[in-house]
Order: sequence, then C-alpha cells, then structure tokens
Amino acid sequence: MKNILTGEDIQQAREQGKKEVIFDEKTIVTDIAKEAARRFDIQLVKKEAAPKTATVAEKREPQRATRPPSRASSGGLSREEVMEWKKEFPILDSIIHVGNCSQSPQSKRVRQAIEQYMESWLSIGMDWEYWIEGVIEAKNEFARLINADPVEVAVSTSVSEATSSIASSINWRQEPRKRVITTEAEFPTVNYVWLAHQKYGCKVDFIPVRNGKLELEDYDRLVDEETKMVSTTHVYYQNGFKQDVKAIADIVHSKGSLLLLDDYQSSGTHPIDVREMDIDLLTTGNLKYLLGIPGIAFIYCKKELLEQFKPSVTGWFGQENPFDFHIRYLDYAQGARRFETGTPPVIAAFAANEGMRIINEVGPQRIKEHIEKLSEKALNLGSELGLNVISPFDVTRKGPTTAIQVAEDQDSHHVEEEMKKKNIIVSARGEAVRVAPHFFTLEEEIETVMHELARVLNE
Amino acid sequence: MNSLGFVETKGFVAAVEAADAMAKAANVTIVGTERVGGGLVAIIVEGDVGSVKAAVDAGAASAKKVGELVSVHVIARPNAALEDFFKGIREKKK
Repeated sequence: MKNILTGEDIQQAREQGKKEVIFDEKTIVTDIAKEAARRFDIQLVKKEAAPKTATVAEKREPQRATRPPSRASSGGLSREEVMEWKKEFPILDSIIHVGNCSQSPQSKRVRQAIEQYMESWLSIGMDWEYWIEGVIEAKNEFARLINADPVEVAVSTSVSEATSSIASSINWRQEPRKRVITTEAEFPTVNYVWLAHQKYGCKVDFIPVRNGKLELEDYDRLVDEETKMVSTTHVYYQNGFKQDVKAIADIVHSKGSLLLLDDYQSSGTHPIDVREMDIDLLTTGNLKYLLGIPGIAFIYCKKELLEQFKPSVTGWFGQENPFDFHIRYLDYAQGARRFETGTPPVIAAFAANEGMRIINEVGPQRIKEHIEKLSEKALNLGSELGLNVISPFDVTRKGPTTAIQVAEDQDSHHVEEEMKKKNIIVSARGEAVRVAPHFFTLEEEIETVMHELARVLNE
Repeated sequence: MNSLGFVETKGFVAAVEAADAMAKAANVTIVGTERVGGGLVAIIVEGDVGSVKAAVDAGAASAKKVGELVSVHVIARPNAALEDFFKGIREKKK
C-alpha cells in the first residue's frame, strides 16, 4: 500500500514543530503538500531506498535452524544409499537438481514404465485391459502411500480437476452450511475452484498468511457451524511452511466441518497417514516429489463420507459400471471412483505408479528425516551467507522447500536461468527462488547450491 | 478538456468520504465513481487544475481518516482521447 502525503499532513507536522518530513520512495506527495511545505518552510526529505541486493549479511543476524533434540531413527539415508539412488536418475550425473517443488528428475524406472505402455501401444495396438490395470495399480500404490483403502482413492488429471470434482459434488443451494474456508497460502488453482462455486451459493473466506505462516488460532476463529469445508494446503508453496494437519483436523471436526487437504507441495517427502491425521479428503499430484509426470492426480475420500458426494464435474468413469452405457440416469460409483471423469490418464498412471513405488521403497519417514537434515543445512548456510531466507527455521514446521527472497530489482526467473548455467536446477516463484531437495540430494550439494546462489544474487 | 483528479480507496465508505471532501474543498465536478473490483473504488473529478489538485488533496486526507487510501493522481492536461474513455462513466452517472 502506498503512503500518500497531503497538505494536512504537512499542516500537522507544522503544528508539532517539525522542520522536516521524511518519506520513502513509494510515497506519493500531492502538489498541495509540496506547496504547504514550501510555505511553512518544512523540508521534504526522501529516505534512501533499502539496499538492492539480497545479501545484507552485515546487517542481518544469522538465524539457526532447529530440529527435534531426540530422534528415534537414523536421521535419513546414508551417503552410500544416496549415491546408490543417484544412479537411478541419469541427469544427476551432471546436474544438481533441487527444483523438485516444480518437477522431479526422470528416473530409469519411471522411463521404463512409460516405455512399457508405449511398447504395448506399438506392438499390440489396443490393450485396454493392461492399460486400465496400470491405472488401478497406481491407485493401489497411492493408497499404500497414504494408508488408505484403495476403494477410497480416485484418479484425476490435475489437482484443479480433482478439487473441481469435490467442489461440484456439494449441492450448495440446498446445503445448510454455505461457507468454505480456504487460505491465502493455497496454490491459487484451489481458490479459483472455490471462488467459481460462489455462483452456486457457497461463500468463500480466507485464513490470512501472517509472517509466512497460517495460525491455528485463525482456524479456530474462522471455522464455525456454518462451515461445510476447510480447504487447506499441507505446505505453503512459496516458503515451505508446513501445517500441523492433525491439529487443524481437530478444530475443523469440532465445528462439524470437513477437512480437504492439498498435499501436492510435499507428497513423497513425509509420511501421510490419512487415518491417524483424520483427513476427510486429500488431493495431490505426481510430478513433484512423487517422481512422476504431469497429467495425473489423486483424490482420497474417507469411506464413511463418500455417499454424500455427487459430483457434477463427472463422466463415465465415475459411474458404477462405465460399460453399461446407460444414458438416462446417473449411477455414481460406490467408492471414491465417483470423483473420476473420463478416460483415465494411462501413460501418466504408468509413470506415477513406478514413481510412488520408489518413494514407498525408500520410505517416506526416512525421506522426511533426510530432508530435515538438508533443510537445516540450507537454512543455516543461507542465513550465514546473508541471504533473505523466508522459510521457517523450525524444520519440523517446514516442507522440503527453502525459499530465498530476491531483491526488488532482481528477477527470480533470471536467477533460475543463471543457476542453470552452473548446472543447478532451482525453481523461481514470484519474488523467491526455491531450493527443494529430495532423498537423492547430498548435504555437500546443498552447500554448493547455497554458495552459488549467493554468488548469483550478488552479481 | 478540464483537468482530471483521481482518488482510489479500498472500500466504499472511504470513497464516499473522499468524494464529499473533494466536492466541498474546491470547485470541481464529480465525473463518477468506478468500482474497480476487489473492494477498490475510484472517485474521479474534473475542473481547473488548481481546483482539482486541492480537491484530490482534501479527498486523500479525508479518506485516510476513515479507511484505506490506495492512490491519488492528477492529470493536468488530459489528452482529448480520454474524453471517449470517460464518456461511458458520464453516461453511467446519468
């Protein structure tokens, strides 16, 4: 918000005996204010702009990251294991890939899975039974990842479509609870879906981001008996802030509302147990830490709740028996498949299945511990180098992303390009550059990334 | 074409307060109000350049007291092409 200096402000300064009024470069000074200053002999002093570079080490006190003091397990993967897994991703021979918050690198196994589909298409021509089996296997693998029953899982093509299916399955005109509470930390697509449903009668309210975080008190304050759904992200895509899902679920359920969690920003980097965390609905996609490709997403819906959802974003694969080819009535599938629409994304499902197998094989808990170690390294080093780290310093309240805010006169996408020239993939988003490692990242690679980033930001 | 003055606020109340102050402060005519979206409301006035400057200054000072002032601007000598631009706003006002 701009500050605007008027004649009245100058008049007040005069009454207070001030001889000068200081304003910054963003302030608009009206002509009347300038005239009044001249008349009253008050100096208008423009404050110097803040330093333009992101590195102001001499002025910023280094912060230290915190991790839980006692740890039951080994703290992630050993160096040998990481080196072994690196062989699975050919690009890691020559590139440090810490852009996993945008797209993970290609693994040999995922490529092979895609090739299996291509080979079947080439040699058999049409093999729907095998292809659909691939989709079902992917759903089963996803169910394993989040500790759900496969009947509670639906396949979709993106989180946008998945959220639309969910939002459209509530009859907003008849539903007594009209409110949907979402947050300012959502990946925008989710909020677009909810806002678009306002024309059907739902009312959207936002939980504010305060200092890069969402506060539990705000959930407690805003979620009420009028709230049908709380739609929130597990991890903030901008700075990696991670929410306490169980605590949110407790608040949401105490008000008789439902919890929809978007886990896209972190799936594959920590264990998700939908039962233990008491999540009603969950959406996620596969191209980030789940090692897949674009074009596929998943929906989880608690079994006991399924019956109430009747999506209008639907299609033949959402029907109990798609091959009945009836045309005069809707017959939603019994399970979460009711959220499905048209022909599923087969090739993406082959890739997703293999990617999730790798994650389940390495183990989400071990990945989490490994990433916490890398986060600690990135946060501390970023701080020591004077970078403007905007991620939480408590690694338990943080996903894999460590975000560095660039200076006002810098373009984060330019920084991303410059880093690419140094064989490092980072991800630019808005005014931040995100460093998002995975289980195949070594601590020394984080050191290289942070030092190179500091160099690029200081150039 | 007369000079144009703009005061933009967040919220309707601050906009009304600004419009009132602008009309009282100087010999200007309120061309119209524009609801820009997202709660932003712009008040547009016209008159001779001195009056418009005084009106915008007074409008800004008043809006700040009751709500959020977003921006102010004065175009001393608007291009004639802006006449068409404001035709719609004038008609809407009628």
